[in-house]
Amino acid sequence: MIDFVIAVIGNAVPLILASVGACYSEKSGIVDLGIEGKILFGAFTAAAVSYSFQSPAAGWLAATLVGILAGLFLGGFTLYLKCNQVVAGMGFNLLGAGMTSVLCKAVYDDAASSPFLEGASKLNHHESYFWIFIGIGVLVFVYHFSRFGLRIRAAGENPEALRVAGVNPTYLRWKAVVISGIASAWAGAFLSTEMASMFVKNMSAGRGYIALAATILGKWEPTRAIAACFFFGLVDTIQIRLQGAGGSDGNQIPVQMIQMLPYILTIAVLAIWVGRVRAPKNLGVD
Amino acid sequence: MTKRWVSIIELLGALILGFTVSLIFCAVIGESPSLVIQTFLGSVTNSAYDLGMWIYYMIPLALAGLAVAIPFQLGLFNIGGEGQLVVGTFTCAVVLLHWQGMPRELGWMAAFFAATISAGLWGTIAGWLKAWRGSHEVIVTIMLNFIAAALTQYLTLEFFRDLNSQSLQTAEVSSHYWIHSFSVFEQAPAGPMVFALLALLLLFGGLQKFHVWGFEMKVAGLNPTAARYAKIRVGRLQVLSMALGGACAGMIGLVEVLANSKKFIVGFSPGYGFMGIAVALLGRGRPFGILLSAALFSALHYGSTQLEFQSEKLTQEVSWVIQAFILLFATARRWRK
Repeated sequence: MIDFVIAVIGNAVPLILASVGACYSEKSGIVDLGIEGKILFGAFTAAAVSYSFQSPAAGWLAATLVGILAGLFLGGFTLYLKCNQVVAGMGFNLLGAGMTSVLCKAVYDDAASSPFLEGASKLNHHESYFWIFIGIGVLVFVYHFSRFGLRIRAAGENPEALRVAGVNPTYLRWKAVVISGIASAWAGAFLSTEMASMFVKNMSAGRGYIALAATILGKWEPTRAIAACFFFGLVDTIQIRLQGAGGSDGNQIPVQMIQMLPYILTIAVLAIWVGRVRAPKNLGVD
Repeated sequence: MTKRWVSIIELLGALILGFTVSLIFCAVIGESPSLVIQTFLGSVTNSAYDLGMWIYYMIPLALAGLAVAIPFQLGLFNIGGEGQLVVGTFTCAVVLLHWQGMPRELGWMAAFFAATISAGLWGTIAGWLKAWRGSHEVIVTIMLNFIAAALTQYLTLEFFRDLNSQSLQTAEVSSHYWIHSFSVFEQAPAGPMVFALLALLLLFGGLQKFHVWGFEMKVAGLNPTAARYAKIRVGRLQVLSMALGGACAGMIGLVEVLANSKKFIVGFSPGYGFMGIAVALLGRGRPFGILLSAALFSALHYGSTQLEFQSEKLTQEVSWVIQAFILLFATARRWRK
């Protein structure tokens, strides 16, 4: 039972990081579809740097830097070059999947994965969970209780009001996309250094989209989004358990059906909760 | 300078910029950019087979481009081309496997309707949820992609698997249904379907320009409130455009099942649905533009598979990097009036 709970938390943590980050970006008015790419960049960087320096701290620091760069890159295309935000996000996902695969092959001469992390290059379990939960706590606290968080929320709902108050909403959006970049890169770092102990090609496997769905199901509130992430983590854990149990028995529910469950539920909830789920008014407007 | 010329210059600029940045990336990794350029150019001109493969890949890419371009007229983003084409291909293969003995023309018609209707319905789900409940089509279509992949994988595994094969796939459809390719292309699957594609693009252009649907979609895309005021049924158009887009994606199934692999293979698509986004946006949603950008992305896609053999360091995913940069630069609007 304890094993199961720990597995659920483990599967939920990357989703939580990414979806709390997405709350910042989306609430400030920038559609955050590029999570998948940011996760992959973070995952590759953390694994590669942890391995080369034999230091998990260096890996996480590098992932943070790459997250900042990814946020600035996306901000550059959406806020400065004024790309369509959906296109920029999808393009960034393509870029992340392509670049990390090519880099993995170029650096390690192995197209599938990076070398296995062990010993000094790996963070102690308790330590990493401790720091991650502190990080999530800070993100949620700032969002709900700080003036900055309030302004982020205003930037997506009514940027004019901010302008009248003498605050530049565009500047706030830059900050929000960078925060989201860091959070998603951490999600990737957690995936590669904690869960898999290596970088695997396309290891995000749709988690970025699930995280975004959790944000939307949570009505763009971090606390509710976290609850949705725990639910997705639970489904993921059940699915992995079933796969391990060999689901080809006639009596059992097929693995693919369990795999579909989170996606079907997302659609069902989106279809049913209309009116109650209201996007930030200026999301994706300019 | 007319608006059209400005637009063409912008696109050329985006192409050059995208290629330059990608080549810099290759150089940083340690692969000489000249080898990359040579491989890409050579891969489509080396032999008649290569030329045929280049033309072949244009078909699914242009269809995937249409799947994005049609709903995009209304401002809807169909990210679900991938799921729609998987559903269409699977249904097409299953229908032809079930009715092995039909006359070939009848079989083709059955395949056509199976592919377009199933994929069209798959697209309709997102369009209908958008129109009826206001659910965001991007999230819904992404979710539907995952569902389509899992569902077809399950059905293939449980009911239609070809047990003689190691990989997860159905059996081949009966050989009298196959559409043979032109012999000049030496086994490359480019056949008469190229002309069907051209006809479809012309039809799309004609509808867009001369039919009332095209006009209504344009109005509803530019200003839904004004469209509603003019008694244009925007919701119905949303459903219709997603259905038509899905049907176009489903036609990739015809190409796959009748001409290319002759069966449904789980995970056969190298991401046509996602490449279609780039094809449609780079082609600015016009039929001729879609054809040209499909040609470009087809060369990129096929060239990158060749690059993997030629280069020691790069993998074929480098084409994603190039596509991503072109896509990002091509949609930048900062300098547009």
